[in-house]
Amino acid sequence: MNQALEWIMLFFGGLIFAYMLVVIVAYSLMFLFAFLELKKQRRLDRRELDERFVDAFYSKPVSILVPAYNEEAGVVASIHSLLNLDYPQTELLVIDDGSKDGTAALVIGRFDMVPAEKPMLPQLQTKPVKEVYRSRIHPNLWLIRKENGGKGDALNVGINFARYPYFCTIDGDSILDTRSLLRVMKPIMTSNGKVVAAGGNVRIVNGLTVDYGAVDDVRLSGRALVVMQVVEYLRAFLMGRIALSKFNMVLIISGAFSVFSKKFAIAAGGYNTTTIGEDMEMVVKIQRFLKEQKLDNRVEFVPDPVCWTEAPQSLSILRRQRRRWHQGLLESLWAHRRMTFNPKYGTVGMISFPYFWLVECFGPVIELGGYIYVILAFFMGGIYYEYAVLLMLLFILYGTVFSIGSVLLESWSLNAFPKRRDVLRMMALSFTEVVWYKPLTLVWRIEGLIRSMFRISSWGEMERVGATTKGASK
Amino acid sequence: MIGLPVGWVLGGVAFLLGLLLLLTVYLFIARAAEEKRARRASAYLERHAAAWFRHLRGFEPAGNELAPQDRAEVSAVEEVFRSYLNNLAGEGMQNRIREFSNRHLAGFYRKKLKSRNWSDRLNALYRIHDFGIDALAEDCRALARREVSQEERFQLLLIDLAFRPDGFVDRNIRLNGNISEVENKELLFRMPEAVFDEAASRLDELEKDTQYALVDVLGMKQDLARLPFLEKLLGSTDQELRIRALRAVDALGIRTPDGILRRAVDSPVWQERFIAARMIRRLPESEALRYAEKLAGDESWLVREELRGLGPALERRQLEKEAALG
Repeated sequence: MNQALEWIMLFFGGLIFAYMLVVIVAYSLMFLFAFLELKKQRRLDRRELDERFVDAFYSKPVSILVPAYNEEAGVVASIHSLLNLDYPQTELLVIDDGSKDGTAALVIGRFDMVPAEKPMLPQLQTKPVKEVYRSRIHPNLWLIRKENGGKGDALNVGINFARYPYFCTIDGDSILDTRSLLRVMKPIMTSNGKVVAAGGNVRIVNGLTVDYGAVDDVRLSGRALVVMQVVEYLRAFLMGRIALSKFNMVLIISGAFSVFSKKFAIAAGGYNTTTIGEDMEMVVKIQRFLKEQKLDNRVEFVPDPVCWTEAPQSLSILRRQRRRWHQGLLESLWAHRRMTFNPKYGTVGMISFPYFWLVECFGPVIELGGYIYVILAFFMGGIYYEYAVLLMLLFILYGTVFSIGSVLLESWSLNAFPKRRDVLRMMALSFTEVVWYKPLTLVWRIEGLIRSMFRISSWGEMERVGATTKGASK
Repeated sequence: MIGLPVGWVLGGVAFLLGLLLLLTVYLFIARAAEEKRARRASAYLERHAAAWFRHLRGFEPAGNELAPQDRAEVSAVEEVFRSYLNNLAGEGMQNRIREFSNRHLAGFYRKKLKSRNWSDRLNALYRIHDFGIDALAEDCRALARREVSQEERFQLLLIDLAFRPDGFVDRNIRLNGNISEVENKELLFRMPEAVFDEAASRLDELEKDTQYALVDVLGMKQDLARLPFLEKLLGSTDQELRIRALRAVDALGIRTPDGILRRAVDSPVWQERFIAARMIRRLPESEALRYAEKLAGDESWLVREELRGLGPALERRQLEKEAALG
């Protein structure tokens, strides 16, 4: 009996240990690529490029799509921020996805809107559109009211109505820096259309003052839960996406702020209206389309342009968000599972997919197993102490060291939080991550995994959700 | 139980945490130095803002006290120049900026051009172009002979155009797709008239992308004297060139000559009919309707949609016709 237990402990210990090593090596490589890229761009005077592209002659017009479902609280600030963008030619389409609150009335009243006609090319199937309004103050601002069909459906309506060849998606509660759109469009404009989708950096707005759509005085929130999410976003965006982008292996760009070529988005079938993580799903579909058509177009992540979004402040909302993100992740991976280890899909199939399956999707199971293993090993004592200590050290390396490293990398290259106290607070909280925040998110992600697994057999009966922004994948 | 490398891992983690601590200290020291530089730059601006105003407006020559002494003061001078160039630039002011930069900033940027850091090199190229530092023209040519990024390549072309417009087309007639369409347009748009004329006259020798960009720029410039040139391009066998030429004619904002419009309305290419639909809005209603009738049942949704504005008038004319027949 003891012998069997020892073998089981050894087996799982070895498995967890091997997994941690793989992840640490992968993260170290991604960290290195991010460092090299940011080092290259760190001292660049971006105003020069901004000033060049702010001229309508050289830029490409963009339709900005803002899906809104019960966004009464944030939609006006968001529209103000979008109207203030330094971009020469845009149209702004707010798509009210059958909100039950006063979102539409608020937008109509605040921006003096009247019923209007807008040409639309019905290239994607959507729920019926009820009314179209146009602002008398800002003629490029439109409100499209439609039956509730989910965020993906709202975006598809936006694509049908979009007048320009590129569209930008922004969550209804997000705020863009004035030059963000210029900067996210730069790779598209300078690549002769080779870049067909680009996503920007998403940061957390909690604790900041927003005045007429502009973020004033960047400071860190007072809540530990929010600060932990700030660190998590820094790590995910700076470390993961920069490296994946360098090799055209991006599978996620945030739905909160991304730009797509309309032609490619439509060719890939538009947004999926039944999946939870429609933003990831869209990127995966585009990558799949590109590889199947043998096209050398790219999807890019651009670290500099910033979109500010609200993060959950309570554990219960954060739990729901993480559960949904994980469900979305698994659904997309499952829907396109044949890309995994399929050489036809190049590095996306051979590296991105296996990485997302192993680290992002099933990683939480192994990591939580690691936590349980550590506890068991301590109870069992004796020789298992060594394993427990070793695993704890790896957790610290994996969690704390990379988090602190990301905070420092961000601070050194982009300096979003100029106050030293804020940087120190983020670093201090990173030390505590492994003992509370990490285990909590692991449990929630596993919950999402379980929920998804039970629903995979009933793919077509996915519960419809409104175009909420709080729970969408970032 | 196998021996586990706990000691090694512990050592590794401790080493990394120690390293991060050192990096934190470095970061804070670097930030303090940056803040100090920013304070020095503001102090310089405060001290010399009035003197700069007097000099750049041509009231007095630049005194030696304006010459920047270190990096912080160079960045302050850069801000002064950028601000004046963006808001008040005139030929005299540009000459004074060029003269001062050639004398006091060229050495600084020469070093930056040799930097291994891409951002430093590119920033230097931006400044050399913006401030017209022709003393560095040769250094830029030397850089152009090396392998450089797409951004540097483009900036070097702008500098070459600004400092040596004569023979620019000859030197760069074949860019081999090294620059994007947007960059092509910018380069063409910034060309002095004589250089642009030369490029236009040698259209056939240009790369396809440059040809298209040139035709787009002709539209942007809205120069009516170019209409005959564009008309000639409408007979091209290259469909893309034809579409762009038609779009450029439309961008001129004039009443389109009948011959051009007739051909566009009857074109088998929907893009040309689409532009024609846009053009006919500038015609008197009776003439517009004559063309619109032809396009009203067009197979392309976009063409039909473009005619929507004329919808009520089109219906009215149809009713009038029916009444006349009846």
